[in-house]
Amino acid sequence: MIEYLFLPFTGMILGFILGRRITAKLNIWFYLLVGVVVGYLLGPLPYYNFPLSYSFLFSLLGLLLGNLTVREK
Amino acid sequence: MKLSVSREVAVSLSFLLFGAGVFYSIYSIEVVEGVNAIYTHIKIVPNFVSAVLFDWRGFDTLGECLILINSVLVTGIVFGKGLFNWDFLKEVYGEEKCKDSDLGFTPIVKVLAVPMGVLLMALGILVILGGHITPGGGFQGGALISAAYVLAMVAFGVRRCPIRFTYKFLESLESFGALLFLILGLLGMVLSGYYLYNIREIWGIPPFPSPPGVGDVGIIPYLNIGVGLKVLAGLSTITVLLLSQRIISKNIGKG
Amino acid sequence: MDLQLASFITAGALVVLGLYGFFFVDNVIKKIIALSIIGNGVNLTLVAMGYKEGGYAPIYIPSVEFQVFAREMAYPLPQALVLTNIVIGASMLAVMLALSIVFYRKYKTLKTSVILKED
Repeated sequence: MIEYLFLPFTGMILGFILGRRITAKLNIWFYLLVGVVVGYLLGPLPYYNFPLSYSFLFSLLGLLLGNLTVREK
Repeated sequence: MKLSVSREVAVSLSFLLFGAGVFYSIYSIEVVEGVNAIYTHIKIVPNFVSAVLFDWRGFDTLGECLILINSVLVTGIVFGKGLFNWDFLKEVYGEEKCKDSDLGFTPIVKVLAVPMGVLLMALGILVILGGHITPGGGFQGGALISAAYVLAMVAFGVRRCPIRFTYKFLESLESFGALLFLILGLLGMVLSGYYLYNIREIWGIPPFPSPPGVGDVGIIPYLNIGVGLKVLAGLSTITVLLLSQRIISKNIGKG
Repeated sequence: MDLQLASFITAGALVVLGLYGFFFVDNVIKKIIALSIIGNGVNLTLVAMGYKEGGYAPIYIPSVEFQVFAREMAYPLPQALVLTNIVIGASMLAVMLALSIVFYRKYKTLKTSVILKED
């Protein structure tokens, strides 16, 4: 299982680093919905048997998590 | 005046000669297979261009990264005091309060800039990480993330940009990318004796776990990440410097 | 005329056009644009060298047998070289634009004929 999920989690770390620099307040549910739709349209990477592109979804999730940590209340 | 005319004639003659030479040599070009015979018949990763860039010819990519770093340095030095004066950089990267005129974009640009930027960043990460399987790689992904930054900066101005890449952040990303490349090269030297050797496994564990069928991935994704971070930082730094040259030229005499 | 020869001739036309602009146009920014057109012509030459009639793109498809794929594939080396060349061209462009800003700051014009004081 680790060989299938290593790449998405690396993307999540990179997205976290970049998301800490976004100061705008992002609507999380909107971006998750858009992420699922775009990931379904992109399709998974070859050799990765996922129903949708988990790499894109996890990168977006990392961006949103990074944005949560710096967002002002 | 006479000098000028004779020079025009000389330039025209050389242009005609050189243009004819270019056309002749390009028309009668002949392609042979050459070293491609080796590159095409050994499969390392599914993306053969990535295999050439990071496995067969890692040194070329290293030199190219250093050229990009050099260009960022030269662009910084050329703008007056350059990157060595810390106070004056604070104003350039918007860390200080400063007047910012409204650029007059329509709400279409202003509303769409942030969601497009966020999605472009996620897509850029995907392109960087999938560089060894699909078309893509560090350069393209880094350029995509840099495009997201430039899009937000063009829509909102340098001061109120919602994606806030500071000078320190960009500089540390650039240094981290270059250092990652160099240190992974050293790792190959320790384990196998060759600089930038593509290590298949370390004590039985592959460096980048991948599903079966992908091939000998080795350290190629890490090299992609390093190059991607470096290209992102370099292009963003160049763009910020070229965008805010008005502030820089205002500050030339001071400091 | 096959596609490869047409690409070569287009590349030659781009290079010669860029040379014309570089020699005869009287503006520094336009000279820089001409240089980047020359770079595009060189890139097109390199990419057209790796072209194969009816071949595959150099990304492996598991449904094709590997020996057949390796024979029919477009050459990957010119594409890698072009990828390198594009990044180097971008950094060169940045340096040239920065230098042209310095040029304008010093002379208050970008016309080379005014700067060289020929007229």
